[in-house]
Amino acid sequence: MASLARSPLRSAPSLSSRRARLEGSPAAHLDPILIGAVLAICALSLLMIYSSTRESLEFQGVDPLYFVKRQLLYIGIGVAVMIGVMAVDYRKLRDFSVLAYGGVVLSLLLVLSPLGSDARGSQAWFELPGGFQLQPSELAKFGIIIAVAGFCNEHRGEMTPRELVLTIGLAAVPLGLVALQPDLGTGMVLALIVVALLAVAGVPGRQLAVLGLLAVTAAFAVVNLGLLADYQEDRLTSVLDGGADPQGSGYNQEQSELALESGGFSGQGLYEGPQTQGGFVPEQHTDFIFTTIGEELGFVGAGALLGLFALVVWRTWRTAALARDFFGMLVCIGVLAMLTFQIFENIGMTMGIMPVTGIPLPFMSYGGSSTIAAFACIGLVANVYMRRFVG
Amino acid sequence: MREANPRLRVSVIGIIVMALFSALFVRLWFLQIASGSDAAAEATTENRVRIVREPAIRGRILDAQGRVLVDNRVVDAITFDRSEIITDEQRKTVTERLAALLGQTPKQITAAIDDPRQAAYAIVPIVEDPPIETVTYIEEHQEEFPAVASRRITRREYPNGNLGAHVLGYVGQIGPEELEAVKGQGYQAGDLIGTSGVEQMFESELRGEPRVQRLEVDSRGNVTRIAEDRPSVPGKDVKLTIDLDVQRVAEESLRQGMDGAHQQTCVWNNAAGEEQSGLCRAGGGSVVVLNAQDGSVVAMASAPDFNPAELAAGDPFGTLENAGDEESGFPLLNRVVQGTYAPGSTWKPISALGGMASNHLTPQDVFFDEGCLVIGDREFCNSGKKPHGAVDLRRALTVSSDVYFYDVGRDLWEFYRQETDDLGVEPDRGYAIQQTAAEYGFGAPTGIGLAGEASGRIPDQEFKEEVNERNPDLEARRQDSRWLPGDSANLAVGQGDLLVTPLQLANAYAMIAAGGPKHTPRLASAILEPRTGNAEAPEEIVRTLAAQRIGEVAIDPFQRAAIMEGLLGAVINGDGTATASFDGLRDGTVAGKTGTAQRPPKQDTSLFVGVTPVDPGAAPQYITVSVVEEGGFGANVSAPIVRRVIDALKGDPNPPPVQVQSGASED
Repeated sequence: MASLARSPLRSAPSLSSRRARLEGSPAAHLDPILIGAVLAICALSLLMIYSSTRESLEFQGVDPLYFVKRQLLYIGIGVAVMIGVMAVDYRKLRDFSVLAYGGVVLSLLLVLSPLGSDARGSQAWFELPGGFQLQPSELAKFGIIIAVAGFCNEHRGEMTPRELVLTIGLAAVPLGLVALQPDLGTGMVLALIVVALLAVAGVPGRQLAVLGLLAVTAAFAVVNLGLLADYQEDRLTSVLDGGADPQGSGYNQEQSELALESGGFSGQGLYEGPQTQGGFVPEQHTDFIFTTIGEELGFVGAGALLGLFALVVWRTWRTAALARDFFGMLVCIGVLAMLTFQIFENIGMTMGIMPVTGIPLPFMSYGGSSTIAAFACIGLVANVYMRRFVG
Repeated sequence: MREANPRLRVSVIGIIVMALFSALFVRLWFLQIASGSDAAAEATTENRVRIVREPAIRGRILDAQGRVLVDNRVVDAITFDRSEIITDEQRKTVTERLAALLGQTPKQITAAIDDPRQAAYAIVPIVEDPPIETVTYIEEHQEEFPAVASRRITRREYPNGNLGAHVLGYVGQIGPEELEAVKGQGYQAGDLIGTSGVEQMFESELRGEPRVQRLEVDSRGNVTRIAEDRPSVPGKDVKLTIDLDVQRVAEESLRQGMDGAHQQTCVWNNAAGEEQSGLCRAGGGSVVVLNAQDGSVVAMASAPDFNPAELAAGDPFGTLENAGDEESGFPLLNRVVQGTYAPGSTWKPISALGGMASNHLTPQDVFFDEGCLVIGDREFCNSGKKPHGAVDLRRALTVSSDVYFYDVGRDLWEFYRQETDDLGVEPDRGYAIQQTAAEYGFGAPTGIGLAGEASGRIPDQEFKEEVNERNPDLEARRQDSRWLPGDSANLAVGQGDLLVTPLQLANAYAMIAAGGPKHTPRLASAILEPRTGNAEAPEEIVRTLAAQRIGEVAIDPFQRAAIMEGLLGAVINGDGTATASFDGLRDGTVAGKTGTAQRPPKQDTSLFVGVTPVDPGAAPQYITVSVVEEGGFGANVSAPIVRRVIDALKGDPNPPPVQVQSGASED
C-alpha cells in the first residue's frame, strides 16, 4: 500500500469530490497526459517518416507523402480502435478473454495457412485489398494481455503449480505459432508480457526464479541447437561482436550508431541527415526510425522522444497502481511490459546495446498493424484509468 | 499480505522500467554528446559521396615538324574491374549475364576477364564499341553487374609502329603499387600513366585533368544528386625536337649496320686472355643525333626495340615480363642514355684536351709511334701493333695512334705521382683527363629528363679504392687501390674502367665542335594546346621549352682547330680510319672519330662519332654517335651507320643502305 499512499490523487481527496467523481461520466476522468503524449509521438512519427522516405519516393516518381498519408490513416484507425476499446468497461472485456484468446490462436493459425502471405522470409501477413496488410501477431499482443490477465485474475493469490503450468501452456500456443512464422521479436514480446503478468499475479518468488532459469536455458538452447535460422542467430549475436561484419548483420547497427553519433546535440537538421537521406540505415522508416530522429534532430529531438515515451510508460504504470481492481492492474502491467520491452529493445538496437530484431517502435515506426495494436493497448490503459473510481 | 504482494511487485516493475529508461538516456547521451560527432559526421558524408573520375584525353606527341608520333583513339567499352572485390558466386552470375547480354559464351567472357596480358588489378575491356542498348541496360541494372561498367577508354595509337619507341616510351594502366606512388594526384587504378620515355617525362602535360564528378548516392549506389561535375581538360600536345625522317633513317641504319655486322668476323679476347674469332654478335646498339648548337636531340634510336602499342594494350608477348632476361637483348633499355660503354678511341679528343689543359701537351708536340710503348713492365700497343711513325695531335686522331695517347697518359701519371708522393697534395695535373672529362659532362647524367639515365664512370684512385674496399687482404687491397701508370694510359685511350653513355659522348663532341657552349640535351621544344578537329589550324603554344645552355667550356680555338682537323683527316685522308665509309662525302663537311673498345670476354664495342658540318656556321651542326655492342671495329660497323644518317641529315630522305666494311684492322 506504500506506493499507493504516495499518489496525490489518493492521498487527499475530500469525500465530496470523491462522490463527484463516482457520479460523473468515466469520460470526464480521461488521462490527458497519456493521450497527449501518444499523439505527440505520432506527430513526430509522421515528420520522421516523411523525412526518411521523401527522397527515395521522389526519386521513384511517387508521391513523397505516400508513407505519411498511409501512416496518418493507420493513426486514424488506431484512434478509432482506442476509443472503441475505451467505450466498453474493461471488466466486461474480461468476460471476453476466452474469446480473445481463441481469436488470437485462430488468426495465428490462419496466417500460417496458405491464406497468409510471406514477406521477407516470414509467413506473417494477411494481404488486404488496397495494398494493406494485416499482421495478426501484432494484434495477438492485445489478445494475450486480455486473455492472460483474465486467467491470472481468476486464479489470483495463490497460484498452484498446476495453474502456473496451465497458464504457461496457454501462452505457449500463440507463442509457438508466432515463432513458427518465424517472428522472433514478437515472440519475445509475447513471452515478456506473460512473464510480467505472472510476476505480478503472485507467482511465488521461487517458482518465478525457476521460470527465469527455464527461460534462459531455452534461449541458450534455441541459439546453440540450431533452432534459429542463420540470419536470426547472426542478428542476435552480432551485437556482441560490434562491427565485426560491417556489410553483414552488424552493418545496420554500425550505420545506425554512426548516424546517431553524427547527430550530436542539435542534429544535422530536418531532411539534412546524410545517413537518412542517403538510405544508409536500413528500415529507417520502420524499425530504425529512431536513427532518423537522432541524426536529424540530435539529442534534443531523440531525448524529447525518449521523454515522451517515458511519460507514456509512467502514466501506464501509474494507472496500474491506481487501478480499481486486480484485473485492471494486470492489464496495465501487460501493456507496460509490452511498451517497455519494445521501446528498450528497439531504441537499444539502434544504439548498439541490444541485438537487432524486427520489433517496431510503438507509435513511431511506420506500419498499420503495430500502430493499431499499440492504440488498442493504450485504449486499455485509458479505459482502466477513467474507470478507476467506478464502483 | 497476499493482497499487498502484487502492489509491491508493481513497484518493483516500476523501478525496473525506470532503470531501463535511464540506460537508454545514458546511452543516447554517450553517443550523441560525449563521443565526438565530427568524425562520425565526416564518415557519414564519405558514406554518401562517391567521386567518379574519368580520365581526360591524353595529349599527342609530335615531331619537330608537327607530324604525329603518338595519337589517341577513344573507344567505348564494357569493362570489368578486377580490383573490385566480389564473391566467386557473383562473378559467375555476372559472367553468365554478360554472356547472355553480349551474345557470347561464358567461356569467352571469362577469357576476357582473366586475360593474362592485363595487370592483376587492371580494368579489362570485355567488348569494345558495344551497342548503345547494351550500355544502357548495364547502367540501368548496375546492381546485377558488379565490377562491370561502361567506360570510355583511350587507346594510345602509334602511327609509325615501333618508330621512336624508346624516346616516346609507353603507357600502362596504374596498378596498386604505382597508385601509392602517385597518391594525391587524382589517379585511380586502371588509369593510363606514362611509364617511360617522353610519355613519362611529360606525364603531367600529356595527362590533362580528369573529369571529376562528386555524386551523392544512396546505400544501393543509386545516384541521387550530382554535387559537382568538373569537366575534363584534355592533355597538352608535346612537340619534340626529334625529326621523324632522321629518326627513321637512324633506326634503319642501326638495324642495317647490326645485320651487316652479323656477317663480319670479330676478333676478341676471352676471359683467359686468349684470342678468339667468330661472327660478330652485334646484339644491341644505339644511334643519337644531337644539334650541337642548342642541344636538341634530332634522333635517338636504340636496338633492340619494342612495340609501344603492344605494351599499352597489355603486353601480349610478355615483353615487359622478359625484359630482364639476357636472351631478350634488353629491348626496353634506351641504350642512348642507359647503355654505358668504354668509348675507346672516340675518347681521344677528351684526353688531348686534358693533356693540353695540364700544359703538358701542345697540338704541335710530336711523339714517335713505333707500334708499342712499354710502361713499367707492360707493353701497350696499337691495334695490330701497327707503327705510325712521327705523330702530332692531328695525325694521332686521324690514324688513331694509341701510342701517342699512351704517352700522354703515362706523362700525366708522372704528374700524379709527383703531386701525391712528393708534394702530398690532391692530384691536379695528374687528373687532367678526369677533370676535363667532368667539365665536358662525363660521370654525371646529362639531365635530358629521361628516367633511368646513367652517369657513366670516370675512374681515378678513389674509384679504385672503392672497388677494392671489400678485399680482406690489406696488402693486396693497398696494391690494387693504387692509381697506376697503366690506368692513366688506359684512360687516355678510352679503355679500362671508363664508362660513358652515347648521349654523353655526343654532348661532349657538341661542345668541342660548337666551340664551347654547353647544353643540357633536350627532347621537346614546346607544349602545345591540343588541336581538335582542324589539322590545318596554326599551333598554339602553351609553353616553349627553350634550349638549355648551362655554361661554356673554355676551349682554345687553336686546340679546337687541331682536334677538328684530326677528325676531318679520319674521314678524308687516305689513311684516315673512317675513310672507307665516306665515299662521296669527303668534301670537308664531315669529320669523325672511330672507336673500338675491348671488353673481354665479350666482343669489341664498335663506336663512331660524326660531326657535320665541321665548322659551325648558319646551318645547324649535328653530332651523330653510333654504338654497336659486340660489333667489332668502329670503322667497320658504326662509321657506315653514321654515314647513312649524315646522308639523311644532308637532305637525302632515302639514303643508300649501310655498307658494313671489313677492311679495318685498326682502331
